[in-house]
Amino acid sequence: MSLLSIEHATKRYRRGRLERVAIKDVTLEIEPGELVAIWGARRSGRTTLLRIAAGIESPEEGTVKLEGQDLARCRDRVLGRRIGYCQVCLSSAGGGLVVEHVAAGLLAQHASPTHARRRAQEMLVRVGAPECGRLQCHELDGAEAAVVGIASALITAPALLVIDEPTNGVDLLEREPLLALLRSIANEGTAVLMSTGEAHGLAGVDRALSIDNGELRGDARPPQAHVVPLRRTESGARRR
Amino acid sequence: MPSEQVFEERDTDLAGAGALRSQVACAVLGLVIEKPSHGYEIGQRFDARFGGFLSAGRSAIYAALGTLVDAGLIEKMTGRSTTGVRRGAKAGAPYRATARGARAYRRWLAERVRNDPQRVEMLGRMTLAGVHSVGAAAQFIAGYEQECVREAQELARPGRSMVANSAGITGLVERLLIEERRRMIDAQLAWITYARAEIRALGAGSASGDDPQ
Repeated sequence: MSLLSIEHATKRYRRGRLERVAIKDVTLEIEPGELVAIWGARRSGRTTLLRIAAGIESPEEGTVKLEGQDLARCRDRVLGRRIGYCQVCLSSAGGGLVVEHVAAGLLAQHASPTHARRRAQEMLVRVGAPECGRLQCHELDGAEAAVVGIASALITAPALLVIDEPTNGVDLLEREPLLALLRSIANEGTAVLMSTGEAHGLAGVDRALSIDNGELRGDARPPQAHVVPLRRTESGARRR
Repeated sequence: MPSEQVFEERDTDLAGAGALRSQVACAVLGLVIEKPSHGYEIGQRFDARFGGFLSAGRSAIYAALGTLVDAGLIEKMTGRSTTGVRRGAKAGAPYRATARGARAYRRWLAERVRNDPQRVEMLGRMTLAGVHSVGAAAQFIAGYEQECVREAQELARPGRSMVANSAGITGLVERLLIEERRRMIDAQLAWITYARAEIRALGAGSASGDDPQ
């Protein structure tokens, strides 16, 4: 069983008499710890695919499952908990201070403000931006906004991080560290699904796919079979 | 896909890869795909299409035809074909492309054109010869895109990243080379997006692409 499994998903948008198919019959599987990038031009369907993977939108046809559970039935329990959706552009809805913005995900789950703020500061340290916590959101530059967005998404310890165009608006010389951060997050076991409109975002990822006109191309499934972790039995022997 | 077909395509890959090492052989295959012909006529069309760009004498053309036949990428026609070419009395039977040949040619084109320093001219000439329908053009573009995406992914492979991350002028030069290549890939991907829009527009405008493959 894959961490994320999208099967034959199709999504259309309608405006009056006009209809546009955003994604067509897309199948995609992601395993824990994978870093997967989807390259696509504007209006290729890349953002729609990510929003569907994150459970923000539902496909009209097909299914989306996280850890075997249909997102259509468990979206409220999963989004913001097992799935972190990262928006690089910060809004001030989560509070004026960056640390409050990062803490918002835990506060929404009724964590105590003290605990949430402490975890938020830990997350800012994790993404390499400890000094940003005391700044106002509007004071951040592009790279800082990106890593703060990632910290906000990670605070609930999700199994899957979905991030739309992480390098968008980030200075050229600061993109490499940002991509290295995503790599390290995947190496720690959190699957990362990202979109990109540039070749830069594809460098070093585990799987690089492309999308055009809603059609996904490339390896939709991981190249290796999912390995079932060994568990200890009561006698101490290992078994599958 | 039936398993027999999978194995057949793998065999085709091996045979095709060997036969298409020569640019002359690939150009000849493109010409045969475009129009089944006798060896002499292929030689004339080769000169008209690729003269000044690829040089090959008649013996090289016939050697390429022999290699392509041996690899199963083209074959000699027997009797009257659906294209109306009749078996010649003097020059022997005309050559025509097999389905394997058409597949191998498209794959070769998508893989090689990306790295060829004369790719713009190659593209113009070879697409005229071997990619002559909307469906084939879309397939070619898809293959080209996969090659670009794969190369962009490989740009940060560990050995290269280690050099690029090193301090001093060596690391700087490596980073600049990677960035140059990356920007070229961006340009290629942008071109692919444009080409797809053109292909879609052409496909929408015409009733059907006449794709014999």
